[in-house]
Amino acid sequence: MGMANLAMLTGNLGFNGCGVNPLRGQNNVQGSCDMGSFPHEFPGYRPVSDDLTRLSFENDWGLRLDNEPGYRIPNMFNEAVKGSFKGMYIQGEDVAQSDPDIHHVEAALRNLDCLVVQDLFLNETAKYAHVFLPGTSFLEKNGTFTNAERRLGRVRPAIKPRTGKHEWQITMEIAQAMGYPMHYDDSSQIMDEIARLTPTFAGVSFDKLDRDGSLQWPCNDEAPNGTPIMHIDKFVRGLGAFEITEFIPTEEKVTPKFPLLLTTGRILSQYNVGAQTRRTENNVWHPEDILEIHPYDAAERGIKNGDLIMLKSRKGETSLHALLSERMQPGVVYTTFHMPFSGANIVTTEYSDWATNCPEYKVTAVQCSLTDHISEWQQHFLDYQAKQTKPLLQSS
Amino acid sequence: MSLEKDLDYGTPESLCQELISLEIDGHQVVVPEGTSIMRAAKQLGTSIPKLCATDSLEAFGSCRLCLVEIEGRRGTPASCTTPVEAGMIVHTQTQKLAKLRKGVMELYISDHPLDCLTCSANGDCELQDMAGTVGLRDVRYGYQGDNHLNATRDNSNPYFSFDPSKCIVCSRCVRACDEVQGTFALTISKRGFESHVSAGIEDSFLDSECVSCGACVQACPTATLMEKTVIEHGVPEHSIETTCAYCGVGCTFNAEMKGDQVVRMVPAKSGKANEGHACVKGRFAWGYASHKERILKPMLRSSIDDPWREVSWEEAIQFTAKKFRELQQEYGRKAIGGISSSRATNEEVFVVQKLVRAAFENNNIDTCARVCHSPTGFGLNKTLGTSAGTQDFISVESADVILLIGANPTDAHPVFASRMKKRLREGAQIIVVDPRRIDLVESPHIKAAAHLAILPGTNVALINAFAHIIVEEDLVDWDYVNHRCDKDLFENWLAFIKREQNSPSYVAKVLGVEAETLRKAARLYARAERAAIYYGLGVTAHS
Ligand code: SF4
Ligand code: SF4
Ligand code: SF4
Ligand code: FES
Repeated sequence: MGMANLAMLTGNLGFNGCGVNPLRGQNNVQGSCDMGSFPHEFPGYRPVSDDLTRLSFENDWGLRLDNEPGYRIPNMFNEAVKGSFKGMYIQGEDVAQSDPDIHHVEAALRNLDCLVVQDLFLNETAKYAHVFLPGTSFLEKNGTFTNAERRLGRVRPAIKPRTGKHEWQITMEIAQAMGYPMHYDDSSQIMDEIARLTPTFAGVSFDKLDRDGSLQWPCNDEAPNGTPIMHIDKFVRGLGAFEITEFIPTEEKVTPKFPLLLTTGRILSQYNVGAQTRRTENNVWHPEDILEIHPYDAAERGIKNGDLIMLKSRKGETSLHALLSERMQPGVVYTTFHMPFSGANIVTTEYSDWATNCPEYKVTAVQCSLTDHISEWQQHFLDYQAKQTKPLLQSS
Repeated sequence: MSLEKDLDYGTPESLCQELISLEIDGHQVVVPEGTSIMRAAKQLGTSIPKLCATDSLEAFGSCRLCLVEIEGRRGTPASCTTPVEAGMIVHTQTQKLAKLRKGVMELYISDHPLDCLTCSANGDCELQDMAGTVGLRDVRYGYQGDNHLNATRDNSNPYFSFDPSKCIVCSRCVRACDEVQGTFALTISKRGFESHVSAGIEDSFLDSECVSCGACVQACPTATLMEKTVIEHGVPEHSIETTCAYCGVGCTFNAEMKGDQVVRMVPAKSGKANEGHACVKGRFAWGYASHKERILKPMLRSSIDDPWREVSWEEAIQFTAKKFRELQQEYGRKAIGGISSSRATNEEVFVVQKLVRAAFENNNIDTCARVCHSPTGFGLNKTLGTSAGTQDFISVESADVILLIGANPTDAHPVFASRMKKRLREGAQIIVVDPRRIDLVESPHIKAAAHLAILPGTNVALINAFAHIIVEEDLVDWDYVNHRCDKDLFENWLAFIKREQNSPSYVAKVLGVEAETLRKAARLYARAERAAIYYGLGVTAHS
C-alpha cells in the first residue's frame, strides 16, 4: 500500500515506465491466486459471500455452494491438531517444509486420516501421506501459466504425461468418484469455463492464445487484446485511495544472547526448496546453503571462511558453512535456504516462510558459533530421509 | 543456435518514426531511418550472407561477408553496419561480391576442422550454411600453415562446451553476454591471428563470472559453444512452443525435440516476457523431469509407518474418494480440504478449487502463495482496485528511475534483471533498498545511485519516510493527486504522513541509514520523469 501511495503521490501510475510491480516468486503465483485458491474468494478475487457471484457459479456447476469462507492453511493445521480436520488433498506444495513450527506441522499431518499428496517427488509432506499421486512436469502439461506481468502464456506438452494422466484428470476423477459430475475432454474446456465465469478472463481461450502468443489480463470485451498497463485513465477502483501504513516494528529483537539479525534470499542457480534444481547439474554452483557473515562479526567469534558454524535462534538451530562477506553491514547475517537439509523452518520464526516465497520479510535474531557437528534436527532429517526413501528406491 | 530458424533480420529493429525509401536489387523498400541495409534487404526476402550479425545484437562489422555495392559509392561496404539512405540503389548479388565473399569464406574454412559430417552442429551451423551459400567447394589454402585446430576444449560448464578450434572470432558470444545478458563475462583477448574468446582473464567458464544463461551459446553461429545435450543426442528434429515453469518471468521457450527426447530448450524471440533470452534454470535445468527419483505410479499405504505400495490409478482414486466421503460422514462436511499449487497451471488450480467447493462442498481451499503475497496483493487491491502488478515487463525500458525494494532480480528473476540492466546501461538510475549489497548495487557497467542498506524488516518505515520527504519538500504531483485520487482519504493520509515518526531524522535510526541519504533518494524518485517501483518478497504486510 505504501508503495502505491508513493506512486500516486508522484503521479507514477498509469503510464509506460512507471508503476508498482511485485516480482513474484513461483512461476504461477499470480495465476494460482487469480484462479481462486482462497477460502474466501472465487476466481477473480470475488468474495464467496457475494450472492451474485456465487449464483453464477452455482448455475454453471449445478449445485448450491457454501457462502462462508473456509479454512486457511494455519486453520487447517490447527483443526487437524484438535482432531476435527481429517483429510487433505495437497497439489504440488511441500507444506511440511514451509511451516517453521516443525512440531506443530508434524502433529497436524500425523493426525490426518487421509493425506493425499500429488507431486513429482516424494517431498517432505509425503512422509505423512497415505496416498501419493504422481504429478507431471511442465514438459508434459497442457495449459497456461500467468507471469508477474499478468501475462497468460501457453504451456504445451512436449511429451505425453509420463504418469499416464494429466493432473487435471486426476482431480476430475476424484470429484467424479466422490459423486460430483465434473467432466472435461481436455484442458481447453477448463479455460473456457474460467473465461465464462471470470469477467477479467472473459476474452481468453486456447485458440486466442495460440493465435496471439500470450495475453495480459484483464482480457474481455473492453480490452479484447489484453491490458499491458493498468490504471491508464483511472484506477480500477475509481479514485485512488491513500491508505495509512503505520510502521510496526518487529517484535523480534536482538539481545546479547541473539545479537545478529538473519535475512534470507535466493540464488540464481537454485529454485525455492530446490526440489527441481537440486536434481540437476545446477548443483555445481550451489551444492549447499552457505551463511554469509561480516568479517567483523566472524572475527569476534573466531570464524574463518569455510568453517562449520551453528546458527541458533530462539526457535532452534541448524549448521551451515560460513562465508566471510562484506555484502551486509556488521550485525546482519545472510543465507539462502534452498536445501531442505539446511532446515530453514527450524531457525526462522514466522509462519509461512521462504518455501512459500517470502524469504526476506521476516526477521530472526540469531547467534553463530563454531561447531563440529550438525544439529539434532539435521540428524533426525537424515535418518528419516533414509528410512523413507530406501524401500522405495530398492523396489524400483 | 536454434532449430526454429526464427527469421533473423541480421540487425535490431529501428524504432525511428521517419521512413526512408530505397532500392535493393531492383526492388523498392520502405524502412524506418536507422535500419541497416542488411535488415532492409531481409524485409524484401533477400538474405545477404553474414556471420557476425544477428538481430538480437548490435551490428559489429567484423566478418566482411555481408558486403554490398551501392551505386555512386566506392568500395564494398558491410551491409550490417551501413544504414539505409533515401534513394540509395543497392546491389547484393554481383560477380565481384560473389568473389569477395568466397575469398572470405575460404579464409575461415582453411582454419576450421573440416569434420562437418561428424560435427555436433552438422546441419545447424551458419558457417556450413554460408560455405554453401557462397558456393565454396574446396579450400585453396588447405591445412598448411598456422591454425587453431589443436586449441583445447573447455568442458567445465555442466551444460555447454567451448571448443575454440571451431571459433571464427565473430564475437557474437561476447556481445550476447554484454548486450543481452549484461554479465560481461567474455572478452576477445589478444589481436589478429592470436585473438580468441576467453571467459574472464583466461578462466574456465565455470570459474569465471559466467552465470550460465546460455545467451552466448545461442548466439554462436558455429559448434564452438554448444549445448552438451545436442552433442549427446544430436540436432533436434521438431519443436514445441511452451512456457518456463520456474519463475514469475514466465519465459517463452521452444522445446526442441528428437522423438520423445528434449534436446534443448531455446528461448523464443516471439516471447513477450523474454524476447529470446533465458536463464540457467529455464534453459538448462529441466533434467529433473526424467530424474530417477521421480515417482510415476500412484502409491498407497494404510499407515505412514508402512512402506509404500504401487497401485493402479483406479484404485488410488477410488480409495481417496471413498476415504474423503467417510471422513465427512464421520467428522462433518468441513473435515476435509485442499491446497493448490502455485507451480501448477491455471487449469489445474481451477479444478482443485472446484473440487473443494463442488465435491467437498466447503471452501477449505488455500495456497501457500497467499500467505506472503496476500498482504501486498491486498494492499494494491485496496489502493488501486487490483491485486496485481501494474506494468508489462517492457515498461522498465522507459523508466528513468527504478526503486527496487527487497528484491534481487539478478538471482530470482534473471531475465527481467537483464532487461533492467540494459535500461540502466542506457542511463536510467536505480535506488536499491536491501540489507544486503546485491549485484544490482554494483556490477560491471552498473552502479546504483543509492544503496539503502536498511535493517531487515524496516521497509514500511522507509517508504513512509520517502512519502514524508516528498510532502515536506513539496515534490508532490498535485495535479495527479487532485484529479485521480480520493480527496478525503488523501487528507487523512496527509495528516498521518506528516507526523514526526515518519520524518527522515526519526526514521533514520530505525533503518540504520542516514537522513540525508534518505532525502537524496526520495528526491531522485520524486523528480524523475518516469519512476517505477519493483518490490520482492522482502516487503512486509503494510508496505
Ligand atoms: S552463458 Fe551467459 S553469462 Fe555465461 S558467458 Fe555466456 S552469455 Fe555470458
Ligand atoms: S565462440 Fe562462437 S560466437 Fe564466440 S567468437 Fe567464436 S564462433 Fe563467434
Ligand atoms: S527467468 Fe529463468 S527461471 Fe524465470 S522464467 Fe525465464 S528462464 Fe525460467
Ligand atoms: S555480417 Fe556484416 S560484417 Fe559480419
